[in-house]
Amino acid sequence: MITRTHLSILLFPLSMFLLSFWGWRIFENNLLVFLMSLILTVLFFLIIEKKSNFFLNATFLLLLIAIILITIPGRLNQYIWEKSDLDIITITAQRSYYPAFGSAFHNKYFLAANKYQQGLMSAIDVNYYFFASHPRERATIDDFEKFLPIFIPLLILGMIKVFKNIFSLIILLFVLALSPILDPRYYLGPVFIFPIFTAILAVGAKVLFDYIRTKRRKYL
Amino acid sequence: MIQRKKNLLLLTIIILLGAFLRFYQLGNIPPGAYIDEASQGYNAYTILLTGKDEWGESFPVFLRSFGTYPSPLNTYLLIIPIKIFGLSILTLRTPTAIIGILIMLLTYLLIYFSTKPRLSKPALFTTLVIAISPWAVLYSRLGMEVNLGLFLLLIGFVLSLFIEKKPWLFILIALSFAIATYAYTAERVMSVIFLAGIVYYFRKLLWENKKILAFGIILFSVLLLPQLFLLNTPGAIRRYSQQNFLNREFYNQNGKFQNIIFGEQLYYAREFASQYIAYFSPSNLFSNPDSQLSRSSPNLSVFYLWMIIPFFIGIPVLWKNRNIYFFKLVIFVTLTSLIPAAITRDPFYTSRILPFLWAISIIIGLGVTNIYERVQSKTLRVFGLFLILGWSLISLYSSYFVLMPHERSSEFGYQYKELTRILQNYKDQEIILNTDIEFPTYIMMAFYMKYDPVKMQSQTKNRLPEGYYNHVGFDEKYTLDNITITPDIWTLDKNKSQILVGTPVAISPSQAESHNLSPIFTIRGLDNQVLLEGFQTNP
Repeated sequence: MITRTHLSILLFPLSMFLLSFWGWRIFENNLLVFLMSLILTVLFFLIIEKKSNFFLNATFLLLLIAIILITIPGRLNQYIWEKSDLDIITITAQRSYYPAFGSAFHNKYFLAANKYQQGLMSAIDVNYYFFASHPRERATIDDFEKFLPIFIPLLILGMIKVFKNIFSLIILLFVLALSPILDPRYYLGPVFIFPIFTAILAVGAKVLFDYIRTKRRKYL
Repeated sequence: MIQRKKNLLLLTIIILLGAFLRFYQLGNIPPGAYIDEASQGYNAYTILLTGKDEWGESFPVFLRSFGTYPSPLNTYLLIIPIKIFGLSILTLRTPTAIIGILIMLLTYLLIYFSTKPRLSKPALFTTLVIAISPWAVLYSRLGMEVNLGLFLLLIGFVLSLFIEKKPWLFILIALSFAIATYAYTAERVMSVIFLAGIVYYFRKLLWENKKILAFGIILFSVLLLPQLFLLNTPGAIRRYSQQNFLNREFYNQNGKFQNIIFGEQLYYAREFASQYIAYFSPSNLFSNPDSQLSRSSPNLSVFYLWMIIPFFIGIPVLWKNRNIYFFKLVIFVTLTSLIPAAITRDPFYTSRILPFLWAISIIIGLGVTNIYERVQSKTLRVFGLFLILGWSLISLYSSYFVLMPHERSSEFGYQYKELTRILQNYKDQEIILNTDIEFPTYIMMAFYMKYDPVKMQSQTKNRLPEGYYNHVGFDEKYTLDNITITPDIWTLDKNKSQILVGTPVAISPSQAESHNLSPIFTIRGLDNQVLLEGFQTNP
């Protein structure tokens, strides 16, 4: 039975979702992804809060896979595997400096791994989410503001809870690991990260709310 | 006893490794003196020989240099090694390298003496992290003032460990922090913050020893007086006014929220928050190098990529041990040392945040210790250590010792070193050397030529009509013996036989042809790019 408590808990993910710039950008461009993100946000919130069950977990995973399959195919990051003209010039020059290591460092797998890790580092950059990558904006990429900077403390509080829940931690690491393979120029950004991030902020908001409420009860 | 000897042996090995990384090819890598190095070295040289800097000022509070007014302490300290060993790149960098080793030792002592019982593992691992970290190696190999500032702060931190038993040490802490304000610009702010933090933490103890507290604060204030008296001069706040974003002009050019009430304040708050948070970003700490080419090496950030794992593991370890004074200090340093850097416009400017990087190294060291203790198998421990050490050293070698000198030789004035050598063959000819606007080519040439300080001072004596600390402008035109340095080489006397030297942009092939110039030498960087070309005029 859905009680008033359940509804009040769901206010957190819903309000974080509606207060995000990212959510509205998705709404303007893709209503289906918007609706899927909304459901995923609520479900992941319940997972972190350990209020979900097998059915909800399965629904979450299916929806997550669906949103990944909608987003990634056709928008793979070619930059990881392809050598740009600059890459070729750089490699040719660097090979002449140290022939002994040249082939090791310029092996195509090593280069791809290096570009992948750069993409991964961008995905875990707080400024990417709260300041549109400012002050180290990326050239040729339309970085947009995703969340209000004032929510950064909520991210820290939410992350502490995520780290205490193995399943939610695995999900977070999984979506972060996927993000470098998406083309960074995609106008909606890594949308499969969006509901995960929003849910973490919602958890942080709930932690803060509970703390304030407990303090108030002590003083009243 | 055996354990102590083992720890001492391990510490010795780590220090030797750190020393090797700091001293190996120190005079040649980087392959030339950066402008700040050249300026400090040359000014130390002129003070040694004449008692005055290049502008004829005796022991200034802020060195005017080429209009940047850096802190003077490192320059004054360079006088001694230059007196003994002469003016050279190696002489400039040796004191900084020694300080880099002392920083490792101080860190070991700080961690070792802050724990009861004495824990050698976190102390050893953190010392190892600092020994091999790119930021520590890089800044120990640059003859600049930043390492000295960190060293003086660490002296204060070490002394603070013993203040409970010996309250009078507060006076030495205040002295150390006061001297640090003369070491580097960011330390002028950090020293005040850290001293205030120590006073607050030990407030009960210091309040019971009021005379010591008063003496320490008065000593600190008195030592800062020379700087405070100059605060209303453009020179004293030169770096601040050049770099900060807290001004209306910058806001009007770049600011968002221009049509919102309190928009300007919101903009500053957002800018500060973004700059501050950027320093904690894993991509900046472990992946992307500092964008300043002279303060980074290619493809290598301030820490190695693998350190991200012990970093995240070290954070809860640090938090759990926050009741220990030293770890409380590390948290305080981590959070507050970014304040001076976060009010500037430059993204992730590493030379302003050395105390922060030092604190992050401690967090990483704690994380490494935690991982090491969780791994039960001795074989796996040794294998893991060798693997990450090997990976780190190979990355450092390829990036710093191979790529950096090749790709960034022009950043370190390599072309001027070579030019000085080549121009020995043209001593009886008039040389016109092109310089970029607002680039102090003259100081590079003066450094490499060991130009007579008396002659330099006679040139500069009338160039500061508004006074030493008030005239912040910069005149690029100088004459060093037969070399005229000017941004405009085309206003030359066409009837004179001269040698023109400039970059391929300053003297393009079409210009060379139209002015009937004959090429006589080319200076290439270590990446084989043409940096300077010399042409003979044919009047």
